[in-house]
This record gives sequence, structure tokens and C-alpha cells, in this order.
Amino acid sequence: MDWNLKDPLWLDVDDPRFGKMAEVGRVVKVGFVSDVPGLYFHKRFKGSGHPFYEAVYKKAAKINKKLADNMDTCIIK
Amino acid sequence: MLTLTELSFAAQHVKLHAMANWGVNVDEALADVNPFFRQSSVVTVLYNYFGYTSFNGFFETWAKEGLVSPGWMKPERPLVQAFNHGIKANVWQHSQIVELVKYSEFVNFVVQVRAIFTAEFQKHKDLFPGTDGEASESKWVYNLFETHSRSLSNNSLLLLSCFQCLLVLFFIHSITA
Repeated sequence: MDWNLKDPLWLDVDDPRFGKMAEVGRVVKVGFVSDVPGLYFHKRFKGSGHPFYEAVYKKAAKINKKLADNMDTCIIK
Repeated sequence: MLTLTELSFAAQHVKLHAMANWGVNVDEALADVNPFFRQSSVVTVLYNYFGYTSFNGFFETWAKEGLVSPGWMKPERPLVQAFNHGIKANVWQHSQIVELVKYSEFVNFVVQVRAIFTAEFQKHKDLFPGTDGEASESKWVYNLFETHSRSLSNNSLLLLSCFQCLLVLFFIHSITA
């Protein structure tokens, strides 16, 4: 959602059948999809310095670096 | 796109939150063995609480600001009902998920990395006492699902996919031509 729904206004809140869904979708896109800024702890496999997470990341990055770079060690959004 | 977004947000991704609770360990004893994992566990449990229990409380403010309809703040908690509907729908087996590997960058990645994750988890399992390795996978799959799978719908592939963490099976949220 963060990568491809560039504009939350793409979600049509005036749609008579699905508009209510769009309302929440817009709020979620704006406030809860992008990475949370200012975290004081590390949350990625990449750069964790942890033997397990680094081992998985190293191999995963060979398959798809973009996706591997987005592998999180915790749920924070 | 709207219905798939709602489906993934309100009914499907919440299952990954729930499954992740089996992949954590917040015991204080872990602070010495694996402090990074314990920290990640605490964060995950706390955020899961925020998502399921606290999120609904924001609707009153959002409704007053005109961002959402007043109906969202009804005592019946319609969004939580959607969460529960998705959770109660359970997770289904999609044993033929591998057939989608050649069509989906995301599925291809998850299928391959799952094997890597499992193998490495076995090597390092001493660092993860009291933890379900399959459930641990849900935490990293969660973020990929959030960032990537919805993008597929925007690209007309309209494929939302996810991971069945507890039963080591995969499932597909929806496939639309």
C-alpha cells in the first residue's frame, strides 16, 4: 500500500456501496502505513547485527534485495 | 482496489498480528540470552494491543474532524467486527501456492525465504527459547504483506497473498483477474 497507493484520494469516499471502506482506507494510508519515524531501536533484519536475522537477510537479499530490505524483526506499524 | 484494500486491512492482515503472538517471547530471562529478540517481542505484543484494542478509540476524533462517518464510532465497533470476522474466517490451506511462484515476485520471495528462515532458525534455535519458529515468520511476512501485496492489486495482478505461519501452509487472500 505504501509503495503503490501514492494518493489516498484515489479511494472514493463517495462510492455509494464502498465509500465507508474508503474513509478508513484513507486514514490508514495516511497515518499507519509508512514506516514510523524516530524509532530509537532497530527493527530490520538488515543491519540488526544479530546472527540469526543477518544470516536470513544475507541469503534473502540474493533473491530479492528490495523485499529483503523490508523484512522486519517486529511489528511496529 | 478499494475492496481488496479493505479486505487486506480489516479482515486478513489482523491474522498475521495474531499469529505473531506465537512467535515472540517477552520473558525477562531472555534479556540475557537474546535481548534483541526480546525487544522485538515486546514491541510486537504492544503494537498488537494498539491495533486491536486501541485503534478503535481514534474514530471519535476522526469523526469529529470529518475524516470518517460517525457510524464508525458506534458502540458496536464496526471495524473491530470486521477484524473479528476475518479472524473467525480462519486461515485456509492453499497447498498449490507454489504454482504462483512464476507469476508473483512476492510469492516467489516468500516461498524461498521461508525455507531459509526455517533452516536458519534450526541453527539458532538456542537463541529463541519458548518460541514457535513458524509464528516468528509472520512478523517479517507481515511487513512485506503490508508494503507489497497491495501493490500487486494496483498493478492489475490483483493478487493478495500471505503466509500461513502456524500450520506451515500458505493461503491466498484473493485472486482476481
